[in-house]
Amino acid sequence: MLSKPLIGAALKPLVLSLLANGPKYGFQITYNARILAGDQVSWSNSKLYPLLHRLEHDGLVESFWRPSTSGPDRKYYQLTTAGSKALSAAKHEWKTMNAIFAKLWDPDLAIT
Amino acid sequence: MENPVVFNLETAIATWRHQFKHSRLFQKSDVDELERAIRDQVEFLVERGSSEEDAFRKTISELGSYDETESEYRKVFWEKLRDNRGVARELIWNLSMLKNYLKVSIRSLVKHRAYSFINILGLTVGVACCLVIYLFVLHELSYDRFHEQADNIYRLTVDWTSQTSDFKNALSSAPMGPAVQSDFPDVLGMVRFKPEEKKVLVRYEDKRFYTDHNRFMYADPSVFSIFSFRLIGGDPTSALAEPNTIVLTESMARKYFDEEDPVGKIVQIDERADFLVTGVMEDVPPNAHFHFDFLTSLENLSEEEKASMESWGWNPFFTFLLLPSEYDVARLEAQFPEMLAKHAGDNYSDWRLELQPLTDIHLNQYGNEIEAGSSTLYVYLLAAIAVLILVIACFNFINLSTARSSTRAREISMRKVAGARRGQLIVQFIGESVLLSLVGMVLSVLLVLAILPTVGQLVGQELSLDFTWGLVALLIVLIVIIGVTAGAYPALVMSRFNPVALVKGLRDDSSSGRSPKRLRGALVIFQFTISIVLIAGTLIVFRQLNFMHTKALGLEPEQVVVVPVQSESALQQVDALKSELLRVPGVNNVGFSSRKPGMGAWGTGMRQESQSADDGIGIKYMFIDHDYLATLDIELIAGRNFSKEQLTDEDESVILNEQGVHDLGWSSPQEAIGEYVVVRSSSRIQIIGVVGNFHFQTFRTEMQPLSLFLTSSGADYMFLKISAADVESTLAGVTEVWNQISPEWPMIYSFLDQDYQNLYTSEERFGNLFGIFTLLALFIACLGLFGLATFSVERRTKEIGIRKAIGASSREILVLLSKEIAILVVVANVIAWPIAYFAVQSWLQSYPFRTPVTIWVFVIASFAALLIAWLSISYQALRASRANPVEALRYE
Repeated sequence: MLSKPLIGAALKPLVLSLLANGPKYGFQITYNARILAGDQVSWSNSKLYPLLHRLEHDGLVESFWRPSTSGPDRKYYQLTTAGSKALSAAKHEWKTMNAIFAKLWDPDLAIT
Repeated sequence: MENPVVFNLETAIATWRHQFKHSRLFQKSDVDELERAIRDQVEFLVERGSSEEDAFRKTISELGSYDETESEYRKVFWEKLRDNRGVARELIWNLSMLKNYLKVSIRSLVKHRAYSFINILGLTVGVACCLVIYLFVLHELSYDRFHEQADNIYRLTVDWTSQTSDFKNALSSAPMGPAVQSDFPDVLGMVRFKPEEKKVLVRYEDKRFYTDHNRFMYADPSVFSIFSFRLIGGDPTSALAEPNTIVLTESMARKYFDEEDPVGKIVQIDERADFLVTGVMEDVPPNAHFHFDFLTSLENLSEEEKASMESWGWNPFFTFLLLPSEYDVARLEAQFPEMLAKHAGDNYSDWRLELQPLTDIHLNQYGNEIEAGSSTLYVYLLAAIAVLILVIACFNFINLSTARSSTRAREISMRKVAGARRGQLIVQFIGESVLLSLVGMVLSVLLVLAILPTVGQLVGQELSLDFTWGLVALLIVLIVIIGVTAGAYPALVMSRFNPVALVKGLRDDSSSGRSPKRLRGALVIFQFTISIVLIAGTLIVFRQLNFMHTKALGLEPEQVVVVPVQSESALQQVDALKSELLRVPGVNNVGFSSRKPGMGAWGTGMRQESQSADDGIGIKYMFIDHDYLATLDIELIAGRNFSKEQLTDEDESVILNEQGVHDLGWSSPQEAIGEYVVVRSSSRIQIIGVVGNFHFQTFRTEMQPLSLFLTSSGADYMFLKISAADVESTLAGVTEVWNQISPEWPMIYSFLDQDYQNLYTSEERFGNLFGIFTLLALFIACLGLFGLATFSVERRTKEIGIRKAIGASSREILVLLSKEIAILVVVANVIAWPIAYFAVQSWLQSYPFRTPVTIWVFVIASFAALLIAWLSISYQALRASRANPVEALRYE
């Protein structure tokens, strides 16, 4: 299980990434994340929705309602252009961080 | 048999949705979105084999509690507001919640009428007390401030304090003022006053009245340039410039002249001289330290007095100096000894001239004041009482609110469940108590307006409630302070509780030190400590008053009529007057003396013949006739009275009081009889008798040595001892005799016991105020107890019912309910006694003659407090103990 602060920091790029290949509604995001991460990430809707609202307010995602055959309408979120840019920037950051850790923990390149 | 509850997803979702209904943080679309997420999840779980109910529970628990969700949404909500510049609007909206609080507060106050009534009544009475005391203190502090130059006017006083005596004299001699003015050019002005001690007969045509004591005033013409006594007729610069001119006050003008303009008219003074009225001035305001009705120039003093004005030793004047603003008064005072030596020689080297600010006089009284003032001690004591009463009222408030909190548990928990934050609850509770204090304040202002005239009479002052900005500000500050302090504790405590515990019923036991019950106990103890101290204080004040009125005067003032004698014809026919008066039925004795007991006497110097001049003492003296001692029942403890057979008595004999004998150095009265003393370093006089000490001065002054000399030709005061039966016809007979002998001077009289009482008006006022405020403090404390008793009986209805059902008697129930409060009051006693003891001791220190502080005062105060406490709870306790247990058990 990942620690809360780490998830807190990763939530935004995670959500942006999940939206990268098409609009999704809230449960889909949760569902996909669960499949991806298994039990490693504890998803709380109480954090997810406010985050989506904040991203929308910041212009990184946009939302629309779509009728559903199996109940009330669903609210879908999709990336905006700014959102795609933000995702690229986030990817770059996380890859850099990943590379740093990879070097750091490589037994052949041990830093003394 | 209960039906098993069937789970219904739609109902569950509707219930879940309901909690968001009143929150501003969630838009409808937000809740729709969350709802849809819940449905998706439930569907997902049901597809995998969960029951609908389990799926819903799991989903909701994953969603997190309402509080968590809300706090996340709030962050986003405020971020959006900040960016949309909507913060101000939101704050205004929050303020509009006040309307809701107000509505709830009013509902809650109305619903709990009894508590609200007790709270408001206590606050109203408490605040009204404070307001009255505030007005009284304001009045006391306002003395003499109406003079425009009040801050720069100083009174020249003489400090006679030496090793043997402790005396600051308000009076000064005539040459002092002019000497200061001529030696120190910085002094801007100087005025001397001399009140006429006698009653002066003023006549205009057929109207003739005596003035009251000290209301006929002589002054330098500069009076109007220093003091702001406003002339409404005449010219202030010249009003007193000429001899035989006089200024009268407005009320005197009306009394003598009705609607006529008095200026330019002639009035006759004491049947001897005509005075021209040169001015009419506004009446001296009540908050002046001295008053007068007639003002004339010092030029018009009698020839004898004018001759004495040269003397530095003759001290009947009040001298005032006008100094520049911000003047270094201490530096001026430091130069006075040199000035005194230069003008008066070495005779007065032990006098220290001092300057007392005009505005200090009323509260810092010296010896020989014209009118009795007050003291800072009284002002402080009253202010302290005001604060204490307010504290008692606030404690009621806290006590009743915490006691009541359990009955409001449901409301609080509902609010919490519905999303009220702690801050909101605190604001609501404090708002409620501020509202209560506002209501109390408005009522108390109305109450004060209604009772002010009565209070004014009681304290002998004209008090008025003017709605100045200062007062309004004070009221607002009071409302907020009382509301916040009284509401803070209940608000903080109650808002802290967990809603679940609240719904189950607030634990109100004393297992934890911070429990409301223990706090209530402490506050009740505090209230009763204050009450007991006040009761003991009141008892002592009244005992001292009673002591001064009745005890140990050393003479018998009952049934003694005092007649001031100014008429020449009466004095010329003293013997005839006496024998005629003795013939009036009911007149038992007639005596004369130069002073009235209680008003003090003039002083002189005296020593034993064998002693050197340095061993002399200051001694008071007065003249009496042969019958004075018998008329006033003054005890002769050695030697003899003056005798008509001994012709030498008039010039060569003296009677001393016991104190005089002691101070002159004899060890017993008998030893002094027949010995000689030297008076004022020349005349040699024999001691023929010694009388017991009697109070020729007030109880505020220590007993001083007194010498009595004989006058057979009458004196300023005549005393008639009359029978208690038919006083009216006796007085009619006396008046008839008087009018025959002295037709030109109407007879005026007073009763000596009454005159004595009048000496203590300031103590009496203080006693009255103290007594009233003590009663009110007790009343408020008892109101609180009554409320607490109501509450405790209400809560213990079931317990009492069970106790009665299994055989407890009414008496046992009564004891059960009273015991708790009795214990608190007993603890209060233990704390109160030492405080009260030191308080009354320090007050009594200001009286040389004082009532002893006995343990009974405290015992009585304690029992009174206990009894009153018991009475205030007994109604509820009795009702509970008598109730039918069935009723009690059916409760709920």
